[in-house]
Amino acid sequence: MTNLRSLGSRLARIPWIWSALGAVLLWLAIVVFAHHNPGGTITADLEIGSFLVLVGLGQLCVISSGNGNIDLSIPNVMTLSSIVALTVGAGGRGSTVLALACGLGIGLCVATCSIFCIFVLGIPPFVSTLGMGLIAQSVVLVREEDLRNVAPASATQFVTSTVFGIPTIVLLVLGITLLLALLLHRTGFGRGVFAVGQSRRAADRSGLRPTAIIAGCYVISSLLAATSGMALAASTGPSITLGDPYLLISVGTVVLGGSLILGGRGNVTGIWTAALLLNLIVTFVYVLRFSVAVEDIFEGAVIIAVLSIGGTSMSLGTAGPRRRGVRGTDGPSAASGEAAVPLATMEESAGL
Amino acid sequence: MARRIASSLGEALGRDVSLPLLALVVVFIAIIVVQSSVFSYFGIGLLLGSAVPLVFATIAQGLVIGLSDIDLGVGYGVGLTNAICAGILASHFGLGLLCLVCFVAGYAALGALISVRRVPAIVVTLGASFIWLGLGENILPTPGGSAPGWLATIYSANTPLLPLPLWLVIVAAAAAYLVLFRTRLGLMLRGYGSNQDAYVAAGWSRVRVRMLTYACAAVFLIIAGLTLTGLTESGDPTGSANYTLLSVAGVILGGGAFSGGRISAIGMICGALVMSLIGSLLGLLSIAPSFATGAEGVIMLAVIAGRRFWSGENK
Repeated sequence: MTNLRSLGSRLARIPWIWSALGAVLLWLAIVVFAHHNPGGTITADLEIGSFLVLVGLGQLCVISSGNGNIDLSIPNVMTLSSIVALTVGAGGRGSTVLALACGLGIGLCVATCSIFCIFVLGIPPFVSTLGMGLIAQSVVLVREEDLRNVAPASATQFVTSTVFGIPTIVLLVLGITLLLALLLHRTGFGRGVFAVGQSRRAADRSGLRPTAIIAGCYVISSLLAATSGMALAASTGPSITLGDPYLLISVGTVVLGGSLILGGRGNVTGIWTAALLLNLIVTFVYVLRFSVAVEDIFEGAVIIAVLSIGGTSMSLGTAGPRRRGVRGTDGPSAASGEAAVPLATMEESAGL
Repeated sequence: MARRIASSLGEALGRDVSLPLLALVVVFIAIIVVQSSVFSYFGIGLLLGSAVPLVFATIAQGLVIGLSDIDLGVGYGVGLTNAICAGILASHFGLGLLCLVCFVAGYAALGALISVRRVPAIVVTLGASFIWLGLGENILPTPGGSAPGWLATIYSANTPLLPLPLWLVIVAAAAAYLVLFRTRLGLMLRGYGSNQDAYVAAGWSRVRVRMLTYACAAVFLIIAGLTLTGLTESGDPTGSANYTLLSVAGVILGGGAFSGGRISAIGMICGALVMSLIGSLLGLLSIAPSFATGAEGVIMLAVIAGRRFWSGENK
């Protein structure tokens, strides 16, 4: 009995357990109520979810670096890089490598501008990335006629193909996830990200270079967003609103996955469970033939329910360094993504 | 007496208010230079009319940011109240009123949930925004409906001295000032935002301050929805989606800080007006909408970057 209880409490301390639990319950409900093929439901949702996983991983890096860092330019980077890649590729007539490089280049470009705004101009990350997003969106609107270009058949075939019944894109994203997990948990850079997220000042004093680390996070996020955008365009076709749904839901994925919104603690597994949960919600409402309006209400309710059941264990529970952080033991301080943007830090970061 | 008025004025203006005020004056002068006929009773009415809903939405956002939270449900929240006003309130006044009361209660419940379960406001309000959107779409599946008769009457009235939207902005400023600096809630809110440890150590309830603040924010969102209904004479649950991020930009432009506690009533109203008038200015310059989006981003970044250099100089 005690063993069972200790197992339970150990399970409850896994940060991503609540989103995983929600996903399993929804999956069972879909199989039971709609008699869907259990494996098919999972693969289909993983395939759609892998685009969200990609941007979620990027957002995770940025948010984990703390100090109010957040990337709101993700959707516009997705759209812009997909359109640029399609234009350069010109439906298979251009070089595929060059097209992919240009798409990634766009991501790098936007990230560089955001980093400039944050560190040189001292604009809070929330506003910096939002502004850069607007500028990227403007470029998309100006180049609207490029939407005629479609992805070459070979790219579409690659993105939608399967290997032993598993979609290639899922395997690809899984590979990227593993690489990122190694980067975050096995390298100096990764430890630096979490150190800066927990206390920028302490990280600075111990000889790390917070500015370089945070800049690296934005670059990773933009590159992943560009990758996701290009893959999505190859899979579903180009659109001027391609990335729009991913703006805030990328932040939602990070938090539902049990990573701290204040930074300093994050896990990549949670991005998968959260992305799967969010897509299963859509499938669930779809198989029950509810309207879009009901889908929205249900999605919101599930997000709030998972958060409130997970509660403190997701926002504070196992976060050792946060427990007695500068902001005290008060939970609600963890409740605000931007709480950690004291102006002093902003000025410090700008090298004043 | 004079001293008291002066100190009240100081509170109302707050710190960092000079830059948003300057930005507002610059944008306004630019608009008049481009289109001098704007400088008239009807011109100002038209210009400010479209800004009024955002002003009230920004006050709601400002209250929440003052707690060092952030509300990602502002856009769809205004959309929902807009849908309730145009879809229900117009035909069934009592039912509509009940819906609006439930909306306030819902916001208070969100506040309680965030405090009690210690979950991040940014994601709770994101989840709630889907609920507001879904409810709005249920009430008005397609944009439409009509403004309640009394609201249309008020909105078509020619008010003395100043056009109605300008009066509404003044009312908004007074209301935000009164809530922030003349009520117990304002005191609690600013205290909590400044130093949560000290606030809790003083024996005050963190659940209560958040519930009250969120309920108060909901009231301002309802006013935003009402003014939007009066302006457009219809309802659209998704029409105000961009208010979420515009209101955040307005608060930060107006001298607010994400870390909470720093808040200025006049500042955030100027911030909201600037965000709204930039769009009008670019429209008057007949800049293509595709370029205007980017120009809006550049101007927003420039003004907020200016804020830091401005306050640096004042030190």
